[in-house]
Amino acid sequence: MPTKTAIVGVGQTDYRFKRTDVTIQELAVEASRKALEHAGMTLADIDAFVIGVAPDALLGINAVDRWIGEALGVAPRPLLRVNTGGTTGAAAAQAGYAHVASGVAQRVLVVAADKVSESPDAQWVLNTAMDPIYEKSVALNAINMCSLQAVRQMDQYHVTEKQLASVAVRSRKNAQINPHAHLRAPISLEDVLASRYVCWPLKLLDCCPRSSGACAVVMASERVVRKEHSRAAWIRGMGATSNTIYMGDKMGPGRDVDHADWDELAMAAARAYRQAGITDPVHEIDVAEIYAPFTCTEIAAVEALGFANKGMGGVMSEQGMFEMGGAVPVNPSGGVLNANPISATALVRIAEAALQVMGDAGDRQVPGAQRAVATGIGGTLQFHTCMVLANDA
Amino acid sequence: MAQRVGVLGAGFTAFAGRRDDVRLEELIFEAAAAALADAGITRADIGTVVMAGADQLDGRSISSMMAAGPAGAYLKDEIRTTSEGTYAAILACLRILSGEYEVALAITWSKTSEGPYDLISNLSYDPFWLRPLAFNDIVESAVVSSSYQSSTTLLAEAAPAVVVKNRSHGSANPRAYLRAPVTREAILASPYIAYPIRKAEVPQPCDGAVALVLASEGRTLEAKRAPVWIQGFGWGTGNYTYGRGVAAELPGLRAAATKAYAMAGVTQPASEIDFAELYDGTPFDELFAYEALGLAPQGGSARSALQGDFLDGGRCPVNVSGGAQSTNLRFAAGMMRIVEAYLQLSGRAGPIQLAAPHQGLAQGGSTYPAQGHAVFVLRNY
Amino acid sequence: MNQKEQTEAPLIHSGEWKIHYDYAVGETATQFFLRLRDQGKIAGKKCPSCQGVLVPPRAFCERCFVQTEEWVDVGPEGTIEAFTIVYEPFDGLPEPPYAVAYVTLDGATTAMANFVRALDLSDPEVAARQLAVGNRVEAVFADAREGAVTDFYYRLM
Repeated sequence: MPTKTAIVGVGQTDYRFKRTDVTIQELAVEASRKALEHAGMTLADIDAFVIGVAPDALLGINAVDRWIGEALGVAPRPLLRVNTGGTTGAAAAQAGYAHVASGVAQRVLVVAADKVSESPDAQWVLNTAMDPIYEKSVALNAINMCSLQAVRQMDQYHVTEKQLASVAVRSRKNAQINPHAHLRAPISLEDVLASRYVCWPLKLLDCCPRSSGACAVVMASERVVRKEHSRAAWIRGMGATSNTIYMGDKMGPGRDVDHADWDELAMAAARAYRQAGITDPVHEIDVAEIYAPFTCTEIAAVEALGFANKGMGGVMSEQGMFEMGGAVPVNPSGGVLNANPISATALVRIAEAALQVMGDAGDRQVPGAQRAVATGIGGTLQFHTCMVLANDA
Repeated sequence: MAQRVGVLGAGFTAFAGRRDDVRLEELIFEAAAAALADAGITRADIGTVVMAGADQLDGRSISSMMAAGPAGAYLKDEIRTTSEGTYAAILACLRILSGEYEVALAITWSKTSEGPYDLISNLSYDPFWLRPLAFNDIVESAVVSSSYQSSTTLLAEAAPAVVVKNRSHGSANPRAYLRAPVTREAILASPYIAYPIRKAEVPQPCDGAVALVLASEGRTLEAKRAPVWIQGFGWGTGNYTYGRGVAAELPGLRAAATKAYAMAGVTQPASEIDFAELYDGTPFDELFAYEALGLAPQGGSARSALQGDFLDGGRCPVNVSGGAQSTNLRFAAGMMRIVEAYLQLSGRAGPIQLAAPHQGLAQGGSTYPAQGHAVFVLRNY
Repeated sequence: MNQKEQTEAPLIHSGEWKIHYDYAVGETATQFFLRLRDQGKIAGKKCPSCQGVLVPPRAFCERCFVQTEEWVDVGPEGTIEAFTIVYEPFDGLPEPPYAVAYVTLDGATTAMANFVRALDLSDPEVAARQLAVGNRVEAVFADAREGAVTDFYYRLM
């Protein structure tokens, strides 16, 4: 039987464009300290460390985990680094879970950090993630690959630019109550629609910023939680699904999954929901933290998570289903659209979901939240993760 | 530990200095398909794919994007670590023991013929303190060697002996990349590249990919082939900067071994371990590992090596496969150590088969920057 | 040194990664590029299991996990599956605006990305209508070809 595992501490730095006052080491330590403090532990209590950083080139340091590890006083303890692109933070959390659930460790620190602003332009780096032989020279990057999704959503489901804009407006409204968020100035629907095209049909305000910051969580075994903690976010279910890097394979007549949709996330969610005993997500999930770096991606995600029928995510967003106080509040934190410290972003979703079920989410708390779902996305919209957290084991 | 992880099969590619006949993704597919065939299963049986790869070595940012499909992860669970090749096996073991997955494909690769390895190694150091000092993995190994507390005269004598031993072992291994033995004289005649490491003590690299199929205990017992178990495993980390303890004592490796031995119930490694496949990127790495793993007494590595304890036929044969000295897969070298240990314990090691081994040890290691080590105790009963 | 002697903003050390790679394209892509360069043809590889024609060609099918064997010429005409028009300059990438589309070339099972040229991109809405999903394009081959993806581009028909 796997050991039941919970998150007992969460730490986040504020997310800002630049943090020239600290090194990446110091940034990771800042979040780690807060997480340990929240968990009532010290570094000496930790059995093993998981560090999430991706990709190296954004920071300009290859094996940065070892350098961060030095600042955390890791030696001689175990350290494992995870790098799966956008999903890195979530994959690191899944790796951390495996440490505890396997019985190999009792207390694990999972930390992810990024200083995206230290590379000149993230899209240049992300272009080097594309197939160097067939696709890199066609100037693909993280923004235009999402534009391709939006184009297919518009074609198949008549998603409108106004629906996309509704996601941006709601997210920004929530960001105003999250002190960690990077972008917090209010925006209107008109502002979004009037912003300039970056990659058609995505406009500037449909896109996330590049942020610096770090996030850490402390995980512990049931034995530790029962003895030492009054509240915890139990990891009740998780799933991950990977697809091909080739977006063209998700468009031609031979496709298994359409680039418009996130069926991969639906698969990961099906597994996580099954493990957590969730059969009616709209009523059983109290809050969702969705990794949506562009407005169109949130629409695909709410459908994959079972909050809206396929093709209806945009309509439901416009109708207010995902507002604070709506049927399923989405991204009370303001989401990725308002803070994207790439390596840490997927862990931030899990951290925020954990805070919600622990009742520690401050002004952005969804009252009485008992079950939360957190997602991650990476690669050419090819990696998907899903985790269900609950206030009971 | 009540539970253990089984090895269902192993797969690896042809090794060559340059595998220009395939792009990296095709190399990965070659190993993954071979591992599935060896295990007698198909891609449908795989629950999770655990990869180990490093972006800059692969020449692709987030290289798992390209690698996931060829590694068998199409519409499956997949995760990647970048720490070192054998960390894929560590994470796969954790995921199986957590009850999340029954069968895992752990895979890693190295195709460093396509990029400037020494430069990439240097870029792995922090930009302020060590990178400007032209550190790379060889320089770090050399610096670690200088901290050795016992007789450095004996150490200098033992280093070429380790290379001669491993290359001699490798000459009998049909899987090895370098098959020609080397002489002590040839090694001593080669120049120092970073004192005390000589040019002939750092093996020529080769391209290749290596995969293991791992499974839960229940799933392993269903397999037709007699099981080989990962009975214990552990991993640990060294110090990034020097001045905290003795680097050559390899504190990360000691911590890894302590954990692995405890899990496997090994209390007297020198007598309970029948053979070992160790990280030998330089002979000094192997020499220091003898002591850290308890295969030689403290301060006794060089003496044990010189008296032939670790030769094929010796007290505890080390790297009868020829080790990385014969097949320098760099990032994937450690994973090949596990594969060679597995083949020994399943009686399929071919011309280098040891007589009835029951318990072996495999080690993955990376020197740069700060040592990262993983230890696996494998058993066939 | 005093507790706080710093009088300037924190220092920035500049650094640059210049890592040169020689990517082995492998035998499958080599054949594709030679056929493209020497004959101006686009070819895919057929999966013996699902019969899918993979373009660009892969040596193996990720889904069926078998090696591909048979070559099949596809195109030069095809159907737009998705597109974008880039209006923002990105470091190291081409000067905007430029259009990229995924196109299922006739006879292929998968779509292949390339630039769409010979199209006025100054008005986003007008250009986007012309590039709508389902519209037809043809591959146009450069006169001087070097064996790279950019030896051809898509043009609206």
